[in-house]
Amino acid sequence: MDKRKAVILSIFIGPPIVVVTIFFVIPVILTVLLAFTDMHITLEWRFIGLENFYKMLSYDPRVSIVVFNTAIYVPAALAITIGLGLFLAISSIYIGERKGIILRTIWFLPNIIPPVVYIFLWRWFFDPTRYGFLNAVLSLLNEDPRPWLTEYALPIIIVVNALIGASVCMVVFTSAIKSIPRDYLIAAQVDGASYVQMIRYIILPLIKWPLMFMTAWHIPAHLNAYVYTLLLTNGGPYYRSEVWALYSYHRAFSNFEYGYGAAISAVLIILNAIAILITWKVFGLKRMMEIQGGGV
Amino acid sequence: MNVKKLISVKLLLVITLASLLIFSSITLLSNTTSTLASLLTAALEEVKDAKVIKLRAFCIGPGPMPITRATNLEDAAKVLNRILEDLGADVRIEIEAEFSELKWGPFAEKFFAEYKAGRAPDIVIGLRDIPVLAKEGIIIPLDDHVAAFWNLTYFDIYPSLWRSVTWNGKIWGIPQDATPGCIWYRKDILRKLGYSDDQMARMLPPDAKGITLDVIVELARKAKEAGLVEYGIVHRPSPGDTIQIYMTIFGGEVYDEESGKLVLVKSAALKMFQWFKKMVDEGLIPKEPPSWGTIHSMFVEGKVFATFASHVGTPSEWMAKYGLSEESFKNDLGFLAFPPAVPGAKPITTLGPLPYLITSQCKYPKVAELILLLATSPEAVAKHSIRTLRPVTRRSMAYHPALQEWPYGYTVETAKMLEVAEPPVIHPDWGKYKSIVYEHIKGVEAGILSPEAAVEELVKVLRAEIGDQVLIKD
Repeated sequence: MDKRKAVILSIFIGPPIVVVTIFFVIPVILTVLLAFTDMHITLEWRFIGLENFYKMLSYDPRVSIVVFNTAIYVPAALAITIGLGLFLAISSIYIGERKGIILRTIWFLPNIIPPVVYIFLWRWFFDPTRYGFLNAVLSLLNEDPRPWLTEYALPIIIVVNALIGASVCMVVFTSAIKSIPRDYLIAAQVDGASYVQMIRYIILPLIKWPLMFMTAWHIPAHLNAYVYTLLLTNGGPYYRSEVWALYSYHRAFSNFEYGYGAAISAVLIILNAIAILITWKVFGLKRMMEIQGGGV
Repeated sequence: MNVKKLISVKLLLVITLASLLIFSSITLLSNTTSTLASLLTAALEEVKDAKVIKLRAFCIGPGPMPITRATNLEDAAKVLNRILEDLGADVRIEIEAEFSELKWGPFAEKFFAEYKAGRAPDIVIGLRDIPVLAKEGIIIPLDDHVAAFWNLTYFDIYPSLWRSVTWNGKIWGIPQDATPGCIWYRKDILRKLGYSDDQMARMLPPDAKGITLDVIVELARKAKEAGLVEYGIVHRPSPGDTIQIYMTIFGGEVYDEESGKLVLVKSAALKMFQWFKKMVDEGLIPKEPPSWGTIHSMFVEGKVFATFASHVGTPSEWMAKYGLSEESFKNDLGFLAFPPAVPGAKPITTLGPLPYLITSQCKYPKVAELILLLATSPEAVAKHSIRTLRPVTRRSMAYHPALQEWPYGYTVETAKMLEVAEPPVIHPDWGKYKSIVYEHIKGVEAGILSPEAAVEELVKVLRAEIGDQVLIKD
């Protein structure tokens, strides 16, 4: 590479590398180091080796339920995020440009509302008294109010989190579908393909990159998400909606066990890396890059 | 003995007593004056050539009502400056008292971050974990100061409050506030059920002596069946000292003074969980604890018969934020300590104390001590109680002219609870204990755990989290 190209590359890539280093790499290193200490609220610490990890694997009685919840939550939320996002994208194109814009605008609203407001609306929706929206509807049918967030805590947080991701996917997939050359779709129609066949044999294969990107984006997003769950159910009732990221938060900032919370977060870093590698393998990233580069 | 002799004997006794009193007062006064002088001298030596001493204080709400925690410090500095001016001393005290509406956790985090950075305030009020603060050397003991001024002023503060700031044989703070927990109930709902005020006073005495928790439950049941309320009883949506209350009224204990360890009595815990399950099954307690705002607004609006989620000072918040009128406070609300739930248990209220502390990073601890002396004076206590409706912390306040009439006389009445309140549990793992027990209560209420399973899980989790610092008793 000649000197001029190297300088241009540095100018473009340099700042993002600095930002990623400061706001990601260094915090990750500090978190991992903290995981080997017993730092608590007074910010004093001692090096304790693998004690935190031993506690996590051996005698923390809540780890099993948290792992179980996370194992349900991440795939379910991901399925809704990608599936619903794709469905909305295809529907918004199918119904025509004008109606499609209105549909996409409505569905994108959760993304532009501040998280606290978004959750307050859901809390009102699921309020356990008869003043909540759902219970108000039930009272019109002469039914007693139900404690929704107690009885359906995990499914509710799956839906609440997934809807945010679905709206982002909707926008990305819409853009990707619209960039497919229309000739392919017209030719398929001429050959008698149904809309479902066009989706399956033309649209899905041609939007593989955005599908892979959104999947790879949202797996860590759901693994690391805790804000909405914290505000909506706080992991309750009795850990029934406690997921791994929220558990790390609770240990660090509710119990002030910073060292142990960091150890839980350190596990999350490894899980994220594994999840992304699996995603690349499943989607055949290497093959896709070869094709992109002009290979067969 | 004839009358003349009797009178002369009585006169002799009176003169003797009066002489003793006058002599003691002079001695005390001279002792106190000399102590005050020596402490002022020590304080002046501390400041040396400084002209202006700046002190910083962090004061917690949470919420806007107890701002007097900060303003009393500022007023104290003014008084101290006046004393210094009168003494001809060329030094003045400035105090920057930061009042924070942060909740307990974030306040503590902010404090420790500043402490670690070497910028801790000189005075802090809002931290309750005295054993941790003392063990880590974050706060300084105040024994010498309290001893020096005991006869002048500190003797007057309720003994239970002094016990709450004593750990490992030393005094670590000056008591500023107390919030005895209690049950608040709606008298207007009882009137609708046909009870007179006299009947209410007999059924629900403030000290809860002679009654059991079943009385509250029965009245809550009647109110719900009559369609007068949505819920009979609501409780805290977060862990708190009510855990100590619940364990005690069901016949258990939470702390063993001899060993200095926390305690779980399994039989009491089982009865407690069974009670909560029964209350939820009957619809008297909501399956899902409402938020703080909902709890307060529902109680103020009369949609709940009794709340376990408040203390004697909460009405000030109800009036400021939830629209409770003074008339309604006076006529429609009643309170009592928590009655026992099982035979053999006793009524209980907890102290909820909060002291001023001096940090080890304070460069002028003697000056800070004098500020605290003045900031906890009877006048300062009166200002705080008038503002917050929290009980007065000094016995002599019963005679304070500003606290004789309603509603401020209320703060003198409720101070009686400080005489009988359970001392707070002072143990580094008490916060964890409360959180764990509370989570299991929620698990039972949600129907996830049976009471028996909740006890088993509780034992498992307490052992894992607190280890040998908790004694498990049958």
